[in-house]
Amino acid sequence: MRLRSAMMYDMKLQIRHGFYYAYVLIAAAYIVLLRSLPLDIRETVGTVITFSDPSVLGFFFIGGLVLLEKGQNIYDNLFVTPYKPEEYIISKTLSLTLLSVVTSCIIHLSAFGLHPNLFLFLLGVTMTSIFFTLLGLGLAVRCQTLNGFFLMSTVYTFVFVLPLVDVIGVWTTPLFYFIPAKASLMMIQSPFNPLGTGQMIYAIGTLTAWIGIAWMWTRFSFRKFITLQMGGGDPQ
Amino acid sequence: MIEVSQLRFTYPGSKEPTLKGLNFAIPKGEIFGFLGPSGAGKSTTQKILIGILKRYEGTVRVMDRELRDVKSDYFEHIGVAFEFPNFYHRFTALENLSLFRSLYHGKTEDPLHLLAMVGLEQYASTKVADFSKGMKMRLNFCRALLNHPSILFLDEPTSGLDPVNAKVMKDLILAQQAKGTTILITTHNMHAADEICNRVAFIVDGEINLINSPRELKVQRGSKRVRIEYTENEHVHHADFDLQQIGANPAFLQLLKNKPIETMHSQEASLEEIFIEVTGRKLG
Repeated sequence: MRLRSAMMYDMKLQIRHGFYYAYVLIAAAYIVLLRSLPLDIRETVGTVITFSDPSVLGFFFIGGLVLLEKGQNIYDNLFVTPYKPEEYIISKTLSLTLLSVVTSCIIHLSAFGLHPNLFLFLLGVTMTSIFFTLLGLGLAVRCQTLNGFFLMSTVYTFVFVLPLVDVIGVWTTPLFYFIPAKASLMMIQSPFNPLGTGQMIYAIGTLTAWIGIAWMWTRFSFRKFITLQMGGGDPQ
Repeated sequence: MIEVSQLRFTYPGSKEPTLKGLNFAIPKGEIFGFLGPSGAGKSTTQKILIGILKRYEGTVRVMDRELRDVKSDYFEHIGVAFEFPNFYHRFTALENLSLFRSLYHGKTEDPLHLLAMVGLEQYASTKVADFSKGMKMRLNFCRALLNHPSILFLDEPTSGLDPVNAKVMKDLILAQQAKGTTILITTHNMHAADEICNRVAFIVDGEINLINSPRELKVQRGSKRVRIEYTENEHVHHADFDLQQIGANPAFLQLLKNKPIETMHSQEASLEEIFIEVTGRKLG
């Protein structure tokens, strides 16, 4: 009940801050771009775009949101209510994930039409979004300014999106299998390259494990950099 | 309502404890003020009583529960207004209050009713970004009352307010007390504390030097004299008289009878003077 209400207000806040308009514009641009491409490279570009939407966009949007709320010192007031930090993390993550899934779905359907393997594709987008939003949240609570966040984010996103070079055919290594983006890309590509059972178990298992790690890290970061700093001013 | 015994607290990584064995008890319905300079331990004490800091030593019992064991349901029973009134700027006053209201499970107050109580009802649909400091402080107070709290924690409630708004805030606090709410105020504003607190505690360097009612303190520690200002030959003069047997003091009675009196003041000490005398420190 509380989580549902918190998510509703989070979405309302995202609308007020223009996130939805930004997503509509970005999605429209992507659809126009994809439809103008020849079919043979459309799939590769579509995969890269669909991956970047929940991962990179989600990561930066959550960073912006958290730093905005940090700047407005809203946490002091939120967490002297029964609202738990875990509920806050879940609400923020799921509200942005919903936005990512809907836009990814619209982009995909507009560019490629309806596929039978859409479930795995959507699951991939959802899990990717959850992972990167948690990562962005955990990083943002450690930063004081948006510039600081952007600087740090290049390091974090670089490592986690590295398997993209495999998709565009530049370079590959078996080590990519340890990086969650590899699993994400396999699931997002699944409408074009259907996955076998083993691959499916690998992809879902890897993303689940990374989401678990990101959840614990973000919860720890939140406690250290938000909860224990509450009450404002000096620590006396 | 609140019982604190031998409360000690040391921040992680710090060698010196911030709180060095506090003892106090606050009965239901009292307005209790924590007075002290910055860094004295006021905020830490408040954070412990609010339930944010739990790794303390000693005993802190609030509503018969040890605070280190309470879960987030404790927040259903308390209201907190921090010094800086922070809100979602893009949301209106009503949206902000409705959002915070939705975080409680228990019975809550209608935000419109609260806005009317503090004279902000016509600004319910105004974005908080367009609010003045005084309006935000009143909205902050509304937020703390959303869940009908049994205990209200107010951090510098009159900070940055003009005299008119400060008076409004004091009246609002007293109205809450009349409803039976226990109120804890942390402040370095002696004047505000003097006006509304039933009892005050002076806290310096993590220790409580004294707890008493402002009136008792002023009477006990002031000189028992009255100062009369009167005019004579177009000049203002003053004379001091001992309060004991003042009704039988001929010089005093003569003065009252024969001279135009300008002012009469008993010479009790101000709370600020007592604070400096007791703690050897200035506030601020």
